Amino acid sequence: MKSEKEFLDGVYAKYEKELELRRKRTKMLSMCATLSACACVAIIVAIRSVPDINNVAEDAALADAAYGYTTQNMYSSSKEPSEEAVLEMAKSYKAAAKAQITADYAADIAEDGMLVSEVAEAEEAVAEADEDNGTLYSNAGKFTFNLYTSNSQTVYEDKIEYTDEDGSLIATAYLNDLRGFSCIGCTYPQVSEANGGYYINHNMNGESIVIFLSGEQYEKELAQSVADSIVYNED
Amino acid sequence: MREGGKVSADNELFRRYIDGDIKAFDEIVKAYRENLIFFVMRYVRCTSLAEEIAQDAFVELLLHKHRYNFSCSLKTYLFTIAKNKAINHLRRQKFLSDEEIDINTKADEEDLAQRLIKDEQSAMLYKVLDRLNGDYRCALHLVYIENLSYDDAGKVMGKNRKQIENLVFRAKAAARNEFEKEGVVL
Repeated sequence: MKSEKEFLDGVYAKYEKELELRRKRTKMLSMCATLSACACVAIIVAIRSVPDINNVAEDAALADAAYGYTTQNMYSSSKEPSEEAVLEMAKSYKAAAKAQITADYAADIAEDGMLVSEVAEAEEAVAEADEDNGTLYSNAGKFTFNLYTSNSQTVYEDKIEYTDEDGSLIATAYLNDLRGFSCIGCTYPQVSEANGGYYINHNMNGESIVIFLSGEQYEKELAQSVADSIVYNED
Repeated sequence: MREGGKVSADNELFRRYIDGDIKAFDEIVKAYRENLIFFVMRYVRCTSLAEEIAQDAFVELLLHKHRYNFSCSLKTYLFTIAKNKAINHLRRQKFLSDEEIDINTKADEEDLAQRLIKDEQSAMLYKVLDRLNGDYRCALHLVYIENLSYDDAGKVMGKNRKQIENLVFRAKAAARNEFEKEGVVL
């Protein structure tokens, strides 16, 4: 193990390195603001290739920030951007965001360590469910979703029943009508955007349940409405 | 459980740091370094990685000192950051190759355990922590080894008090099963 002094020196070294990265980033972003939208996209690509900035999260967050900054700049300028320019920007942004993880998710990492933990936990849970040959269903062709719980689950044609360790029924998810989903002792679900979809992450007696919505027709409002429509039975 | 006086002292230290007293930050690191590393080792089974993540948590404090609003104890806040960073790390690096696992980890962990675990019950629980699932392990560590209240442990784990109570209850039951497997009746 490091000595106390080595540990502390390491903290300050990392801090200095982070400050330096931020200075570079600020400089880059200020340059972006003076250029046209298309040129900005090129700079974003250039920033992404800077070896020092090898952290995917910050990298994508940077693209996100640069995009937001430039878009704002475009709209606040006297010249209204053409539809084509905005469309082009949106396409570029989408391509950049696809790099490894979505820019939104990365921005969450960079901006707020609290939120990302929930997303990370949600993703872990979904990954575990997938690994365990968990559930992946198509819901009337609208969107797909994963349901995960650490409790036992029995899958029927139209529903999944969740049982506690002692076999008691604790929740039922109706696949064609998520409004029928109910469980006991839940906290209010939180909707997080990531990986081209939305995670609805909520807890049931200390166990996480994650619903992941993705597909052509997903909208944040739709994810939120699904979250809102989940019925919670008070304990 | 944690004494209010210690929380106040920590808050005072942090206020001094915000006011520009960098020595106060050194004292914060000194106060929580080992506990934080020991806690992160619940997530990553490698001393050097745990140290890196603990350092990152302190860097977060340096970078965003005004994000801490004193609504919870500094310890709870630090542990929350560290836990989030540990989970982020696990997410990015799902599998750790054998070469990356520090061979001294177990010895370091035992060393920390000897210094940080004071009572017999916590020492008993520590013996079976590794055999429990992630949430159980984390909840028992926070409540019994770090002596956080259920509310504070909940803040670290992103769960409410009732959920933590349930988790601890189940974790203790799971720990009891582990002891019974060894023929130890509690």
